[in-house]
Amino acid sequence: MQQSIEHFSYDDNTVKKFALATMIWGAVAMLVGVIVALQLANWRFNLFNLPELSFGRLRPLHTNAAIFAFAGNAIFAGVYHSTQRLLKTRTYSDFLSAVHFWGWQLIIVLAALTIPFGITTGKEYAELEWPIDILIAVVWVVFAVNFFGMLAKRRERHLYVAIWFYIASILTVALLHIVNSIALPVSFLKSYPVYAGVQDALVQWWYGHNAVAFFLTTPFLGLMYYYLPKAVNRPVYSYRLSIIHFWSLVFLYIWTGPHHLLYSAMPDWAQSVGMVFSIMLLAPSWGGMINGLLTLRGAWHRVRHEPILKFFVAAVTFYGMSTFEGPLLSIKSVNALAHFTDWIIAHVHSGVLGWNGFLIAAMLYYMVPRLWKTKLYSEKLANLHFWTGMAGIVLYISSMWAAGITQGLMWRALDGERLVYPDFVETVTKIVPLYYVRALGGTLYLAGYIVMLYNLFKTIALAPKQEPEVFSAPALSPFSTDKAGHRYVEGLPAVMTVLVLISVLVGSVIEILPTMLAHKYFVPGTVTQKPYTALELVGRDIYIREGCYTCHSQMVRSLPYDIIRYGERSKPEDFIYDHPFQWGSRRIGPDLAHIGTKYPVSWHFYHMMDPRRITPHSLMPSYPNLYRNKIDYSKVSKKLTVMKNLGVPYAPEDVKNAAAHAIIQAKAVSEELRAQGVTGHLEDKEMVALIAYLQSLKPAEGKA
Amino acid sequence: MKAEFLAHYGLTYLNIFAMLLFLAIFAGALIWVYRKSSKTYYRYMENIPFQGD
Repeated sequence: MQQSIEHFSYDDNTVKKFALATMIWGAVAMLVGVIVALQLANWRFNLFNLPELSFGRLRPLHTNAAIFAFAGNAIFAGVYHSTQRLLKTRTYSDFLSAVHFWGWQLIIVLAALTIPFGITTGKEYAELEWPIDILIAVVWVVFAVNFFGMLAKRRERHLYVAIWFYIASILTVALLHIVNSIALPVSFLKSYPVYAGVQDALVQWWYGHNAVAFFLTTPFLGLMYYYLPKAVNRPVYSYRLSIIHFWSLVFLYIWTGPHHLLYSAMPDWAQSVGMVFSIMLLAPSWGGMINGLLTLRGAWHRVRHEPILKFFVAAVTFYGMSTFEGPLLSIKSVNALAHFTDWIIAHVHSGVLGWNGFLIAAMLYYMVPRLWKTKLYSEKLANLHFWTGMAGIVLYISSMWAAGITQGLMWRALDGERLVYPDFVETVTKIVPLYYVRALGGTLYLAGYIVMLYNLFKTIALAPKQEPEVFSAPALSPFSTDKAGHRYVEGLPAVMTVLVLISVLVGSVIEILPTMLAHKYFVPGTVTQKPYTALELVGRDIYIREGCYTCHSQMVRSLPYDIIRYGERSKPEDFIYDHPFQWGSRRIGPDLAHIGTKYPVSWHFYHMMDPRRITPHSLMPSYPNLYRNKIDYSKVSKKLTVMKNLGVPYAPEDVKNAAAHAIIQAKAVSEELRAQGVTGHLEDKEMVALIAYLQSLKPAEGKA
Repeated sequence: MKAEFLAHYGLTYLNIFAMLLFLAIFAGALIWVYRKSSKTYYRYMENIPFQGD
């Protein structure tokens, strides 16, 4: 039967817009990165003591911008560009493409407007508050409809492996985002997550690690499987290997979240599962890396002359290095040294700067001249970008490895049962020189990136104006040959999607469900842990607002040197009323799980006003704003109502008289401060609420 | 009852069974994907990126 030939054009306008957005937001993300790096090298870079520009608020801005603005826009550019070509069809709807593009940019702008102002959930990489979370879900669904619509009207029966990676990414990110963001609103810009303590930690790191997996890895692998063969002009080394790579990766990745919680109050079985699956993940990751690198077989000589290939080779190599380092860091004994240190920061940046950043650069260098139908403005500048960026990464990673291992070793150094470095700040001052090296590395990477922007904008500016190209392809014919097995399955997007969903759900359900049930053992009355008082809850929200969790953990691990330094190990029941949990992921300052047992209230006051007055070499920003801002009592009752709805056992009169109780406690704290020599008007200041919260951080006393 | 069941869970052979099941699926997939007879098909698949433009 003669097939009809159809004529069509690609929607490259959307791809161009996403490419431009990638370029611009990338610069913003890296610039904020350099600023926060400098703030760690020298506290004075917390400019003018402005809370909006302090480390605790800018660090989440940096991570969100790098992941969702820079990498996110790059994913959308690459997915739309490659999928249209792989399926020989235009995007499903120009309208949905426009909604997707402008919706995503709106989310980024809202993130930039809320995070520096302290509007945050306090959950890493999921800081955005509930109205923006809903907007993210809506825009993601628009993207999904637009993408699956392309699959429905495709002219190529078979789905190339890159498309599978895109399907897995779209589906799993939706699942992760929705499950992790479930919260009860207190007001338009404040909410508490439904999960608490151990549950919240598990759900958060199930989300957090799989944001790395399904936002920063699988979509980029899809891009690698399309753009690398295109750039080298030869097919992928082994298509068979890519199938094994895909299914093993999708099945294994979802289990690995608990490796962020080793030696914590997380149940041991979950820790072990997380560790074992992380180690297994090495195999498919390296399968993918080898598949990428061997695609260059017979073309290695071109790497010397073609900057695009340099970026591809370096990106895939960094993928291999960071997916070797990840399993290594997940081994419990290695993790005991590396967790909470800069080693993790080194690991993350070898992934984001090396793998994502360089792959995005390679993709843009490939894509921009083709989209604008011209040639790259300067190969020399692209080479300059490569070497500057590479020097930046090397400085960044090596300095953070050295800093992490040094600090980790200092924390664990014991002389009998005594700490060799009991003063935490001593372990910080030793690594400050390395923070300058890191800032230099980041600056070099940013400089290289700006060279790329100049090169690409020049390329675009010099491009001739051209009409969109028209392509032709036969319409999709009904199945004729392959009716069996996987070939049949991958020709059916819906079945493929269900199989992917099952793969990711197996690990999710097995890990999360028992932890959800575990809290039932801690019914009110069987534990002595008390809910936060109204004032303490207000103080806790200030702690979250200022991003204290970006530098301080609240988790004494079951390691001897943690217990000697901080006291009794943390237990699950310590956190049963913590919506959200605040275990943190990095100790730039000491752990605060039992801080309430250590210092008088005046210590906290002076320390918050000027940390250097108490600890001369402290890196902590000063918080004079807490002495200026008045406590907002108007929402206290509502906050307790929401907490009560979430299962925190407040009595009805606690909720009803929350504001009055808070005022009474604030008065008591300020009288205590005055008795210890602090002068001034204190009663209604945020500082008092935060001190009340910090003083409440103690272990639960015994179990029933 | 569920809590009691979980507390006295001693069916360790189920864990072994699950592991063997996963291994068998993996090995099966590996053998299936690497069948020699699929050569033409994979040749077609790996060349899809070179058809669209």
